[in-house]
Amino acid sequence: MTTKTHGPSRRNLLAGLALYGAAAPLALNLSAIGKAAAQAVGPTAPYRALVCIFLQGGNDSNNLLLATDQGSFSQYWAARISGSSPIALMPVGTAPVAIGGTSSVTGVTVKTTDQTEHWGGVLPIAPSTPQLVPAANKVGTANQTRTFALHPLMPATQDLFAAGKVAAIANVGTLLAPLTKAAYQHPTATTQIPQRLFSHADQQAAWQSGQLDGAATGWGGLMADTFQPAAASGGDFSSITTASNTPFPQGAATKSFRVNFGSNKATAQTITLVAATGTHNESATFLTELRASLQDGSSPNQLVQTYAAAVTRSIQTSVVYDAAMSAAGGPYSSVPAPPPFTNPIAGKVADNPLADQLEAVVQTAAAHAVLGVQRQVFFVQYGSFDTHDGENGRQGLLLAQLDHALAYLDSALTQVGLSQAVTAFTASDFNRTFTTNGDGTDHAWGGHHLVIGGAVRGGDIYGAYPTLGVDRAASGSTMAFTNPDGAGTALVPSTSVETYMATMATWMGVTPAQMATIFPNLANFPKQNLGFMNA
Amino acid sequence: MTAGLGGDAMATEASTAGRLALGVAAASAAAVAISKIAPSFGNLTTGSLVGDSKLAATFLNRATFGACDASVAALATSGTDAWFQSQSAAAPTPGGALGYWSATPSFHLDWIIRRTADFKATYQTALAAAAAAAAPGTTPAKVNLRKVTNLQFQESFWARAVTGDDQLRHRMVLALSEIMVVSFSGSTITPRIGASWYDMLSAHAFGNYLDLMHAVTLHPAMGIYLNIIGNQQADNDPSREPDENYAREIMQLMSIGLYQLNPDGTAKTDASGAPIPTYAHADIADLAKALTGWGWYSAKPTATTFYTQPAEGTDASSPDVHPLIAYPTDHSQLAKTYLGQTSPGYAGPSATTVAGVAALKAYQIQDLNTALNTIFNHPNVGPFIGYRLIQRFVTSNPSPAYVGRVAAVFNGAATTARGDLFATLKAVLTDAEALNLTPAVSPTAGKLKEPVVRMSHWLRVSAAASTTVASISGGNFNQYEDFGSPTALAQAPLEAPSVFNFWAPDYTPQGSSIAAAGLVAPEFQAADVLTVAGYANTMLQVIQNKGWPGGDVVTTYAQEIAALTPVNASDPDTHQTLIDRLNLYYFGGQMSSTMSARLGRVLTGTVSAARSPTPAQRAQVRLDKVRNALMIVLTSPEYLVQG
Repeated sequence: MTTKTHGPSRRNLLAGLALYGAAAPLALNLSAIGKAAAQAVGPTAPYRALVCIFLQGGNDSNNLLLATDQGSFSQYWAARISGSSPIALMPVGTAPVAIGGTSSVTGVTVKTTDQTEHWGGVLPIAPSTPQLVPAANKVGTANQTRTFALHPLMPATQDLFAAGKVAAIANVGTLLAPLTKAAYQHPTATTQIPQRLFSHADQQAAWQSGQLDGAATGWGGLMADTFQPAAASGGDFSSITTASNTPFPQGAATKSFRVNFGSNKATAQTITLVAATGTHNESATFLTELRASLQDGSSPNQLVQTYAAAVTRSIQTSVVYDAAMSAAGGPYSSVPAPPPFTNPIAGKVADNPLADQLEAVVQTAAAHAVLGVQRQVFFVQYGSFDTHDGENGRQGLLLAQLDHALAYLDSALTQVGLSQAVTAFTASDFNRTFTTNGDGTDHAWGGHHLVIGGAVRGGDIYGAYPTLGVDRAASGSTMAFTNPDGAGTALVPSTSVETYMATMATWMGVTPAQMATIFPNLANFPKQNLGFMNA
Repeated sequence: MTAGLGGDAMATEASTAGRLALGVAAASAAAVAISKIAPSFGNLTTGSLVGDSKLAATFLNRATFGACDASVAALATSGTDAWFQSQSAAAPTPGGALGYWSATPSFHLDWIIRRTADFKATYQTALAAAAAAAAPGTTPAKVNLRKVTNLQFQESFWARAVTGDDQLRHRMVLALSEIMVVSFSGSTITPRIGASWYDMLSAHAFGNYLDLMHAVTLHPAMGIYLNIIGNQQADNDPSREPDENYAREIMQLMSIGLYQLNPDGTAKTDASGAPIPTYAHADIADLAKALTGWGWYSAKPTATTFYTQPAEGTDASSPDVHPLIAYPTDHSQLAKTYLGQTSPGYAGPSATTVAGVAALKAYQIQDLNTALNTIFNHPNVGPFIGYRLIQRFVTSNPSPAYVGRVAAVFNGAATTARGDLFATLKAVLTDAEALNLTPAVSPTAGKLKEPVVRMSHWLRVSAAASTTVASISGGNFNQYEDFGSPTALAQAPLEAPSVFNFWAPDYTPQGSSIAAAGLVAPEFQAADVLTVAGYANTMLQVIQNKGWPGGDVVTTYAQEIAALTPVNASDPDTHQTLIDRLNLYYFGGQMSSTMSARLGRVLTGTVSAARSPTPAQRAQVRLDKVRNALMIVLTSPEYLVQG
């Protein structure tokens, strides 16, 4: 669809340039750092890691996890079949319609690969715990069991769900305390409503940290603080990110370590000298002075000090990390590369930025012993899921990438024996409006998420899937409709982000006492562990 | 009253209510500290900086893409008043043939058009050559037509940054492009549309903020990026709502922000000490309605042209770079209430009649004007924009008083016209607090230089130029690399990762003394273990290679080598002359004694391997000395923090 994007690039400007002399002229105290890492105290074996997959921009999870029983799906259909480019996915069992064919469901002739008719019906999944159709979505009066499905471009996730490796969590969102629709719409003095709902920057921060835009620390980094009290030394790999500075991986003491990805190898960036055309770079004076100058924070100015400290940390950690990632036969080398990804919209083999990032995650996790850590948190993100328009093609591609990447993650972790040790989960700014704006959706609130891993009690949906439909008054022959879970076009969350995160933090070994510090609102919720993780 | 996000977060917010919105409250202490230090500038008066190269360089390192020989000499001769006059003189006039921005000069778009023609001509020549070279009866070798990409936009960006005379305007455009953000990244903005966007920002950079908001709202780049294009009214459709993307971000990021501000940019607070929101979701929803019904230009508008991106155009007024047009039947006819004002619903004749369509179109345009006027006249805009411009040009943590003085100029204090961007920018650059900043001794003054400005600075001081400039009419850089990767500069024009730019105005580096002081440092959001090394490696490489990868943009370091070369050939190299030169252009004369001594050791330690070097060997050593010294300077934290 577009011009190139700037994730960390496969193209490294310095590739091919010979390093000066020994591989790392600026490395300082390499052995000392390795020793510090090895001596770090914290949880012991077995190794465990948590991977946050951030769906940047706000994923429309109304199209990720769907209720497909008649009453629910008719509400969904009514809300999404209108507009210039309808975003309603086809019912379970609908056959894909080839280009040029006409859909028997909508009567539409399919012209492009991003029309939902072209993809066929949503993919059914059968959660092990039945959920009843809520009253407002019932057809008739008898109790019915709700049926569910995934987006039609997520067949691998459907298989992983059936295999018990993927769980879905319904209607998760930012909350301070349990909140009803009535209380949200008519708050009293004691009603706690999260601030700045629907705002990207603030809700990204809230999902990652419980704070607003400007948050300096996040859930992952605060967890890492408890694993690795020695993190303040700076030579630590408890928290790894592939993104620029975001709250999730930052702790009070833990600083995230950013790795480059692509070209089938996770790498750090080590400051190197260009091969000399003359001999001047070999001057010992110059090398000594450059090393000192790069890290010279001897100024009263805090910006100078802060930059110098960032360079020092970069020099020290990148060398350790790259050593772990380049040792012949090192654990990273047994991690398979992602298989080719086919863009379902363009019909071509294409790069999958999420799979590339997860490859770097698995390589790093495989090298955890070399890096001297028993617990790690990871942060990866991709997008944009901010599908105000062109939703079908844009979200369709992104969810196909998610599907392909989750399948790769499962197989790569299994291959290196870390299936039980690594759990990945989705997070996103917010869900999007239940209704269409013609060819896309706007910002909303509670949404549905996926958790994957060998330690996940998969094959089930945790939390009550909400009633679907938008309130309306009676008009003519149309009956009034009231959705107890929906405020306008947004879902009021029934599960808080904090309980979602806390369930995984418990699995990571965070103690109840530490939990209260990391998740200040957790005590407000009656159920503090959602039960989707094995002990 | 709703509670905050958690008890701790709530307490933090209350205690730093000022910083929450702007970051100005906590900085006031620093401002006091600065005022106690002997000011180097004093107050700027007519003819200030005349004869003072160091202060001229300091000023130009903020206002331009880097002080250099010619610009320092000019400013130190003319003084600031004449400099500002000369910078505004080459002003493109807003409101050209297309109504909202001028088609001429269309600097960047012209370049894209020219490069498109270049590539086509090259292709046709190659095709002919391949056909001629093919043996009879065989298929000629395959020839590929090179496509214009956003790298071609970067060619004209860098050319103007490094060699352009209108430095202040181009620098202002960079700043505006980080406040009103669109990006090639993840969008369908083409090189033509991005170049046209930059031309539009150039046309309005010294104009009025209200005109700029109009042009931004109706430019296809913003139309694509924040979904103004094809946003349809949903007056009688309970299943839909208009798209709220632009309505939200024009208020949150481009004009008024989330909280009510005092005139000095500090947040207003309620009786409980909590900041007061500027708007609620209902305001966004109704503003979204007011902005419905704008679509792509077409000579024959239809329901499809409303939202379908036109094919690539060929000239500067093709539909793909034309201001958006009204599609009256797609505009909401409901009454709208936002930011405390209410616009009535449409009450004219039915849109099924010709008169009705005309009346509805007038109503739609009135809705747009009312929306933008209402936002523009909100009291937050002056401090909001003033604070952001100060952060882009001068310092990350201005005092409330500084913000207040700039906001007053925005509000019309200097020119009587609210929203005068040139007057506002002049106030930013000539404020006493800016002139007296001393990062060398103040803990909090200054800002981390933007990566592209560091690169342009080195290019300007080194008098780098394009080798192909003579063969390509128009004189731009023929550049094949860009530096947006996190292993390079992690910044490239119009390639921000999202509408939130490369960095947020309130970002503060976790665990730093900056954070502990309650201050901010936006550019640090793009400085992490990967990017600080990427930047250092990039500079070490280009300095060593005397130019960019690809071999087009090169320098000979002629001035630097001249500084080292003694008058009498048998004398030692004049190290101090080179150090003085680096001090002037890179540090505005404020180089620390630590840096100066270090450079002295490096220059002395860079020697020829030959016992009795020949003149050619001595020349090589001088080049090596220059490169070693530049590597030290350009990668040092002292240089990277601008005073």
